[in-house]
Amino acid sequence: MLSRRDFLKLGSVTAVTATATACSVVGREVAQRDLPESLSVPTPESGGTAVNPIWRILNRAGYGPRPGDLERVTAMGMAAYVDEQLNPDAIDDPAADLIERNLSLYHMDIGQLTAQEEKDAARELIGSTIARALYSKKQLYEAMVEFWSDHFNIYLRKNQFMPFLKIIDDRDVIRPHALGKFRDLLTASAHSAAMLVYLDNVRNSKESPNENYARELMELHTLGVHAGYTQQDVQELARILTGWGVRPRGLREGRVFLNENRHDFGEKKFLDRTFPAGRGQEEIDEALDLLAAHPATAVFIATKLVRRFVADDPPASLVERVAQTFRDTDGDIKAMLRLIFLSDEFAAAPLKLKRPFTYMISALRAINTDLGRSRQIGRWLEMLGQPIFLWPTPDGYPDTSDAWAANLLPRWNFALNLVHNQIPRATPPLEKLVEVGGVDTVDGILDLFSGLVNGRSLDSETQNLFTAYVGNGPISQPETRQRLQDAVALMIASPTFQWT
Amino acid sequence: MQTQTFCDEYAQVSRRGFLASGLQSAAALLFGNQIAALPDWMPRFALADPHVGPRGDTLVCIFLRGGADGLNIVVPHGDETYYQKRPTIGIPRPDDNSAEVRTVDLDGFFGLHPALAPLAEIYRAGDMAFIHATGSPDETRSHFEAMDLMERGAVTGDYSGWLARHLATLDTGNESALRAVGVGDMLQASLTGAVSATALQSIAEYHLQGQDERVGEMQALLQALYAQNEDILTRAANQTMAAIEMLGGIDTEGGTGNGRVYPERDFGQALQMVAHLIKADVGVEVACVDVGGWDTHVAQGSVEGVMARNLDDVGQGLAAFYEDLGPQMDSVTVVVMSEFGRRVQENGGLGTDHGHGNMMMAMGGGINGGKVFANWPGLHDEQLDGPGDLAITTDYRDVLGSIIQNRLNNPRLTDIFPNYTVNDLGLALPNS
Repeated sequence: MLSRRDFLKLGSVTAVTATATACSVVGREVAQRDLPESLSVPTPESGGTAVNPIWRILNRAGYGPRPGDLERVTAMGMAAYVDEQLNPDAIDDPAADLIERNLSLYHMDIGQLTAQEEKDAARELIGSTIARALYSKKQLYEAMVEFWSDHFNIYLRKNQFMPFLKIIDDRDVIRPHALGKFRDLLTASAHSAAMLVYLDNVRNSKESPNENYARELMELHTLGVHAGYTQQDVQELARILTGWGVRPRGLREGRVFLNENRHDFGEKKFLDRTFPAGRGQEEIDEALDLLAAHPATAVFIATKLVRRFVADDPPASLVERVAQTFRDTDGDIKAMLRLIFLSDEFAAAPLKLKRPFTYMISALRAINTDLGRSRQIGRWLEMLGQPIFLWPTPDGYPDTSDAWAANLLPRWNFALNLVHNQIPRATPPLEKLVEVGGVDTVDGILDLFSGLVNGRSLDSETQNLFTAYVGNGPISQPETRQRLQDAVALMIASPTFQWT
Repeated sequence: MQTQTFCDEYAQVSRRGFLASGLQSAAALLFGNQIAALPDWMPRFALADPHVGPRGDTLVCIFLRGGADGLNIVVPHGDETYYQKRPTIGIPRPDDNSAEVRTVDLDGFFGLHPALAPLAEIYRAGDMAFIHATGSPDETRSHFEAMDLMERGAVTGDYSGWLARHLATLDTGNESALRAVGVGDMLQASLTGAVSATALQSIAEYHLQGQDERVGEMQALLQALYAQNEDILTRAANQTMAAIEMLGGIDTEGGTGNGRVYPERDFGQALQMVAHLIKADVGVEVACVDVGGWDTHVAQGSVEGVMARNLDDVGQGLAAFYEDLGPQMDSVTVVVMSEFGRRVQENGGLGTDHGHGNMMMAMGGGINGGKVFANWPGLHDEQLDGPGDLAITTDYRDVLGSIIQNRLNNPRLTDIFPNYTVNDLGLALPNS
């Protein structure tokens, strides 16, 4: 925890490095101070092989534990942790506050934004997302920001304005509503210039209709593809959405509005309901209401949430209960999440492969890595296969284990490069961890890092493999130290750390 | 010793994999469930069981990113309007004695930019064909939209790439970890969904990055860790180890043996890497290579300049590749494409703006070469598309489809290009 004095000191650091990214300011100052005074070292007796639900929630509803997190959350208990995370505004989170304050483009309006360089916008968006995942204590909130950023996917390279528009979308759509009501989130997204440009509704007019947004609004944002709607419904929704766009010359202004000259004022029939002629904005609102309240939407959103947090093949019983909660609470995201995390299905969830972004951030967090302004982090994300905000198609990055299983070598090499200090400005304080952990033997060090990386001690077979690799030399020997570093990297490269 | 352990392990897993997929196919027959038919590490396209058949050619798919100016690559020197609309940047006629460097004639109407002269020899040998006034129906003239559409090979619906669907619909019995290779640090969109595709930046760098003297031991330890539980990562780890193993055995020092060297810039090096993979016979069926630098809005040059330098790499690179592989070119097909062509009229900045129709190239022993396939739409204003662009008279899917069907032995064109009927151009000779 930062003291008020430290916090003020951070503030002054910020001022002199105004051009640095969020990462660079927060990294050194926060990461080192956050280390607990002591670290628990698991012993073989204390570690079972079953994955415990607290370990699971730290890895799935967040980006993996930092040193000390497992102990803290175990002490407070699952229910209290879920409550804490579902009320992010009450979490004392100086690192996130600092990141927030250090953002510069995020505080601009579209007119100011478009006067900036696109690459600066992309850098601030991506850099701050990485920094928040890495440092924020509002871990579930950040995980939900990622979830909705996939659900309402927007591709940064769609055109040269997209980095600016996506900053606004992140700021005004995703983040304010990530734990709110689904209807509000959907409405905000439908008012997002980034979305209307990305899915071509800006080209949708009565003379030349474009179905792209209408189709994805049903297929990917609300009902799901198997909900039983027809091509006719797609066309009718597209008609309802004609003229809903961004001012043609105003792309730089970025204001979303209904261009009545382009709007089709005729009668429509959408999802078995007649939309009378002569209406504009009201019929768009009515269509969004209809979609948000549709029973298929409750099931579709419930299924995706359960897939993300519980299992690739979502258990039907839980999906049903979550969908019921959606209907009972008018799409209250917190209520659905509470149900999921406290369910028996979550407690008994099968393993799920970490997506590359989670893999990377959880590796950095596990060994308390201090991340500066590292350009290579972005390159590593690309090599790992999940450069954030760069999934071109509107379905978002895949969310099943099999989609991500093929690209292991970059994961292994990321771990090796990280632990061996080969990633500029990403510095894991290994010596410091060993010191705080109070261990001074090969076995002790292996146990310490197994605790940090795996949340438990190594099973005896694995312990033997690692001990054989490191050897029995004194830890003062350079060869032994090198091999211990390899061992830490290989723990992060191992299958145990790929799964949650 | 490590190698030995690893090979046995791999063989076991392969056998297990083979048996398992046999069982799953049986299950699919019983239950008619398409998804259950695929092993769980396979991409889950909603496709029927794959066509089973022998491997065809290795396909090398080269994408010129940025919208390459096809009119200055395969020059329609027989069309007078070309010279009217390109007074400065036009490539002089083959018989223009006032110019020192001129178009290299191909068939009396079309010719090659002089930087591509090495390709004319391959063309005359019958192993290279050009296609003109081709492209995708995308009308946005947006790089991203056009690339996206072209690489997906579909207008709506399926988010996978056309090459991924080709691989998923053709079971050649090839279990190589290197069946599909994308050169670069991210897989090309055409390979999106091809889960077993490998993104490869360099053969020499595809290995564990650690101290040389300990890398073998580390690899063995990883191997042991991944063998502890049988799951999808076990297979993936084995594939990765196999790829490391295979790539580690490739001699990347060897030259072309024919005196022609690969250009030093990225494209030449990428082609050389692909040639190494093909010669090493490591199971590559598809390789994707990207070349950037084609978005020539200003000062693109004519017989010299920015674009000529890029073309020089393409010409020298493809010629080096052709000579390097020699007789093996009988089972290799190279295709060159770009997301769109450029405006016919040169602009005030002596460049060209985003256009529509373009050229494509196809090279290989199985290509019906020595021809330019074109139904030329003409360059008069009224013959142009949209704001003044070459019209498209041959869909790019006809070019790719002809190659897939005849050279890659895959008849499943409707899965690869949904909602499109491929018209076989006679561009590729049936593989026999």
